[in-house]
Amino acid sequence: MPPRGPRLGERRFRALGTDCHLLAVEGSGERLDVAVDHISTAHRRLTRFESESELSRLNAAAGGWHAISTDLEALLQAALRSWEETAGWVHAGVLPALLAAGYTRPLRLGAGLAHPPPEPPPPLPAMLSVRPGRARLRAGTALDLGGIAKGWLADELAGWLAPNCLVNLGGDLFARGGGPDDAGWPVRMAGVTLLLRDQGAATSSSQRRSWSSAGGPKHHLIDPRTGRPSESDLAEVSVVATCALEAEMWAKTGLLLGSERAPLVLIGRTLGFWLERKPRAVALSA
Amino acid sequence: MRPARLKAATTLLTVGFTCLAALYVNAHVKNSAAPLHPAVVNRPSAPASQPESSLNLSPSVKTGDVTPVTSTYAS
Repeated sequence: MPPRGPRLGERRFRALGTDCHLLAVEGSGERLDVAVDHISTAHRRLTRFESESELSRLNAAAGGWHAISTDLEALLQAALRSWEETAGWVHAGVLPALLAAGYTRPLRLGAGLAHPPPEPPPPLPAMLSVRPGRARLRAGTALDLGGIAKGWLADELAGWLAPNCLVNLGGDLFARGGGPDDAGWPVRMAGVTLLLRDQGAATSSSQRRSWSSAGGPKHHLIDPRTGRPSESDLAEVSVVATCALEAEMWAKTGLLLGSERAPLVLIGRTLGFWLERKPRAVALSA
Repeated sequence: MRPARLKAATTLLTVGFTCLAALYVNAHVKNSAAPLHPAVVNRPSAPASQPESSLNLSPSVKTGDVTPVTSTYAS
């Protein structure tokens, strides 16, 4: 009789507008189910596409103080830290720019009409104040927590789910422990298989969550300097870091910086990275 | 009496300007004029020119020839 390997529990589902994948070695099925419920609850709380979500209510209350949950408070603090650490490249305050670009609803329903871009957002600490149990947004501003929420949730959940588990929320993932064979969790990134152990990884790409509009092709990665979809020469950046939030933060920053400056910033701040340039346009002559 | 008054006035001025400076600093965002450009870490190993794609892994990240269980690519 062959030796039995460790039992691997798994759940795949849609939440946070993306594909989610949970894995746990010798983890209880009940814990996995609770984790799925937790992510689904977080989705309802943090989506910007539902007017009754906690995030939408905070956005609607811009201009005054608004009561917030502990989770949202922690997430807003993470957004402020991400802004600070990346010197403004990761900016949760680009929702007006996303809406103007036509990202007004889930893209499976088709993009909305694009409008001229708004003014670039002010520095995040100038538009968002967070105190215990409450937050205030500057009038006329609004937040989209997108990638920050996925990275933050992946880290939080992996810390709770099991000593040996992997939480992948739309490509922002944290691998805790040594995986099924104790050699590291095998994760596909940049065409190779990485063996991650207590490490996070994420990919940022302008090729996905992209759409066409009358003004040309658009995507969801907004350059906070311009309030427009980034014109970076990079199509994709993947990062390995000490946690999922760091990986998400630096992958986005790298992509926005472009191929010349990204390596200089990512070396020393990440555990590894992959850069892929956009295909070069071919010049046609008569 | 005069030196005492001078000392008091100097102290008041110092405290006043300290308070004003603290108020000014708190009222202004640290990076309000930042050009949104993270400080660059200069490392000699940074490649001068980039190919179409490049992978850079530190020794703490292992690779393997096994079937991956998941991927960073999702939609």
